[in-house]
Amino acid sequence: MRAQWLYLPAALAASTSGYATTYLSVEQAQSAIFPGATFQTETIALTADQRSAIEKASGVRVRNAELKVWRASTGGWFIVDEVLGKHEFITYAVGLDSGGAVHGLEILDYRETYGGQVRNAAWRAQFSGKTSAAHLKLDDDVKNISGATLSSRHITDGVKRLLATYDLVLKQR
Amino acid sequence: MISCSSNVELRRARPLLGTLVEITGLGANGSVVEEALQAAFAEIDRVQRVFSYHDSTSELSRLNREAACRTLLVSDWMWELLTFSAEIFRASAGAFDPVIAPILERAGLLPRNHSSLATDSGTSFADVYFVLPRCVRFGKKLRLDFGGVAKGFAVDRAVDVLIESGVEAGCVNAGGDVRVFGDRDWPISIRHPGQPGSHVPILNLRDGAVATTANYAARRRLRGRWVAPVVSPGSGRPWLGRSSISVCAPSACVADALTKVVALRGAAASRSVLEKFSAEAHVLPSRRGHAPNLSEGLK
Repeated sequence: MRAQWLYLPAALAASTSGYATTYLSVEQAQSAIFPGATFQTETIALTADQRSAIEKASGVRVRNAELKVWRASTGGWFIVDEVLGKHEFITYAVGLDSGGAVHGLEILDYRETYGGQVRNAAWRAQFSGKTSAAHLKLDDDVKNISGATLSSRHITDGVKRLLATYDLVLKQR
Repeated sequence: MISCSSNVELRRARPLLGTLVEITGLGANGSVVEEALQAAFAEIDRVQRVFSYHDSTSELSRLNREAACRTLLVSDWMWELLTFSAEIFRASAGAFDPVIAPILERAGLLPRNHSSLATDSGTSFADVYFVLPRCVRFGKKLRLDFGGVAKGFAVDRAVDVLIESGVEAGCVNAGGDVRVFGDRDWPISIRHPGQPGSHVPILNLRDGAVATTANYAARRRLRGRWVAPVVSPGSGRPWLGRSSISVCAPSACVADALTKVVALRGAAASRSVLEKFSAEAHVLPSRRGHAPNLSEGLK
């Protein structure tokens, strides 16, 4: 092991605030979760009744009425979802097999800000559409951070909500 | 920046161990690295199934339910983490002690899965009996939690899988417990404890691990008092320090365990146990603009 501790300037002003990193584009996640499949996008907007049914079944709030869903040619569904933590905004993808069970999960983007912007829809909107493969190398900010704060509970809750969404909406299609 | 000859670098993240686990792998062959990352995440999932306190079907949960009543044969991993814990328990004179589950349950930091089971008072890891070849029994009614070391253990197992699978250099980061390997330096940042949204570059690390313990995320009020996840096993009192403590060690398991010791005892008093495990500590104070305390007497 070799550990070179860095001299920290007395001001400790160091540091960037906020952090954003991308792991996978939507297309890359599709082929990671369902290798070899092709995908058919479906436009699904949840009705108010569907939203409350999903909330009731999963115990998790439905923040977006619009689902980002694709049907996989090999059977199953590919869904892109987003969750908000206290300071984090995470988009991720879940693959459900033809029985509605989780087949795979990949984080697409992780964004963090301590300024409270996470709750601001306009702030979040600036990131949508930035997940094409071409952007990945250019925008990528890579940091190895020791001392994280994140609990993955929001993602786990998101998956619960998506499973209920499958049961109540996607299964019938 | 990368000194080895790999031309493929992949980074993935998954929710595991109650946090986000990020794995970076470098190698010459894209599909080898891809499969290796997949296998490493699967290994972490396996570690979770053994040691999760939240999962009532985990091996740990079974141990907690039954080991006070009967001698149990445990898995290789459970044996390894139990014997490792015993070593750190002894070396730290009890500052590191997994027998803190009931304290954390009362603080609302662990679920009360076993709330019907009473525990004896005044228990410690010395009440965990090891019976060769691989059996364990609790001499008193107690409950173990490996939250202070299981992430580090999972990181080490994931690194083993990456190396076995042919990845040339890599980094596994489980909620801030980081281990790197391969012929290159990895820049590591930590959160400024006074402003956790700011990241401070602190370290260039090669072939080793770093873990950081701090209270900015986990400290909270419960019924008029502060609770936090690092507690003194003897008194049950939480460590409420505002500084950030990072420990570097050859393995993530050691780094993880020793952050708790340094938090509770201080860097100076932990010097001999740090040296024994070839580890180093660095304490970052929370006050903005304050010059760093480069871990008294250590590197």
